[in-house]
Amino acid sequence: MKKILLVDDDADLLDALERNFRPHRHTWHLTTALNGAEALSLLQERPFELVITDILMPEREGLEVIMEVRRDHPEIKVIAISGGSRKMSLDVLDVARSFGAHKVLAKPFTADDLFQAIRTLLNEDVQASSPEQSLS
Amino acid sequence: MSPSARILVVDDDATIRGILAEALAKTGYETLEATNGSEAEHLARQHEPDLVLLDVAMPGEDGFSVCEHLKSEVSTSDTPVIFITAKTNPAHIERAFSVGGSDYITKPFHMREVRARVCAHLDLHRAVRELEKSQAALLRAQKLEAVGQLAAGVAHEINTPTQFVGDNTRFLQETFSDVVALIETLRGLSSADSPPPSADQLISTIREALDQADVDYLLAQVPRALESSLHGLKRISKIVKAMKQFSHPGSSEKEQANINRAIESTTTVARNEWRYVADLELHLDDSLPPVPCLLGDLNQVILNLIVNAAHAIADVVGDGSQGRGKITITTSQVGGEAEIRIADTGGGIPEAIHSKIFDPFFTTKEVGKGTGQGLAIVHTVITEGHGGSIDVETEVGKGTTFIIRLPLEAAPDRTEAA
Repeated sequence: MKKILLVDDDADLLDALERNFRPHRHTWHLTTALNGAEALSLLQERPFELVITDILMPEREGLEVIMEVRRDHPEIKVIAISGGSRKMSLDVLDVARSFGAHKVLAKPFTADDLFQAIRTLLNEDVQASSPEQSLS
Repeated sequence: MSPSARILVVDDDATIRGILAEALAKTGYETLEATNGSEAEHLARQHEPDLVLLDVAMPGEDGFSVCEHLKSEVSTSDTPVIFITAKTNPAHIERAFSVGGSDYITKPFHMREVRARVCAHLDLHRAVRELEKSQAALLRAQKLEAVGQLAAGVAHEINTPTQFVGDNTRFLQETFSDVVALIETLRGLSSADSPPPSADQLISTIREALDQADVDYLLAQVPRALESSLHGLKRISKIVKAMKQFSHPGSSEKEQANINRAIESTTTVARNEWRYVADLELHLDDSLPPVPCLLGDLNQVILNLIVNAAHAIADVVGDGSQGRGKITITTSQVGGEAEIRIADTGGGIPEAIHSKIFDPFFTTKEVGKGTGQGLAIVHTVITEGHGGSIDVETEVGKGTTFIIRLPLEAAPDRTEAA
């Protein structure tokens, strides 16, 4: 079973997405974290195949999660999700992509969009889905 | 010379009046003439001159009284009044300025002096008007900029609940098809067409159908999904309402407003500006009476101070990874005034710049981050727009509190332009 870590600072959002993962419980094992710090400590403890992370969060932003995952666990696939930016001039999902996220989804997205992205990333080999640009 | 302006010449002496009016008309001004106080006030109300040349000693109402009346009327309160009189007694000169006169010329006068003073006062008056207009335009521009900046934050605040309300709805939709399948199975069992199953068969079929429908999970999760969706819709509706209140078009007339509600809506629309670096506490006095204010402008003031507080805290705690700060907003009634205190746990303001913080264009932010207009606008709106006061208490390393006091009784409105 593939292990997925979902990180978002909104508990309602985590619960709602978790309910949508329920029918896939025999293929994907979902773990949730409420902030970047919690996510990073979970990543130290156990292996994951895929991380889905929100970007703007208190206590370690999603961008830090992406950076650390790309640096310490380059084999883990990353999907960035976000509902917007703090400043109009900056699209955080573009930034997330340039930090190494393999896929980005703007909220609100449908669960089908998310599942399709997960399937694509978990079935593709590392070469084909390498990030467009990664930080050295 | 000043561009064309209308000047009212008031003197009971026809010769002096004639000389003044003719000379000013030759210079290019439009002139009006009045022979006594009541005629002067009537013409001033009717034609709204740009300047008044006013004799002091006239039969009936004297020039000082005329000046007092002009200053008490909204349409002529700003009009410069220059006294022209033979009275050179210091007490008279003092009286001329105390009733609102702008200048004092003694008879016999030199026409060149009169022209020069008229021209100077018209220029000064025009410059002040321009300044007031630019200030009002600046406030509008800053408000638009703030609404634009908030829009990104508001979109974020709406997108998150929209996401999970959608996810919950999809879950409920799938749940319903599972429940329908379960009902179909039960219907099949109760149908007269099929042969009656044994008790064991019946129990096993029902158990299988219940398992298939994941009933235990549904019983636990459906109520939570419904509750979460209602909560999400409430969040969306709260921010939409707050945005509507915040972007209140802003009347040029003061209105009795509930400033607690204004503070609540402004903190809601600005949530994205502070929530990553600070917790926000509101201590709002429910017994605070309505405050006469320009609500749109006051919202802008509260926003500027909250955003400043968040920036001051961010300078200390970074993006929130080094702990969080606190913003506390308190309202109360102090004597005949409403008091709003906005306190932050940021780095405080160094003593060397205390006196400059309300100056236009003064900023400590890096180039491109601040225009230096935020606190200058706050100061103008509170003091000139509302006849209130703003003070600051600050300690380096501990934080800053801005204290706004607004009179509960409306003062005569002299700030239509703002």
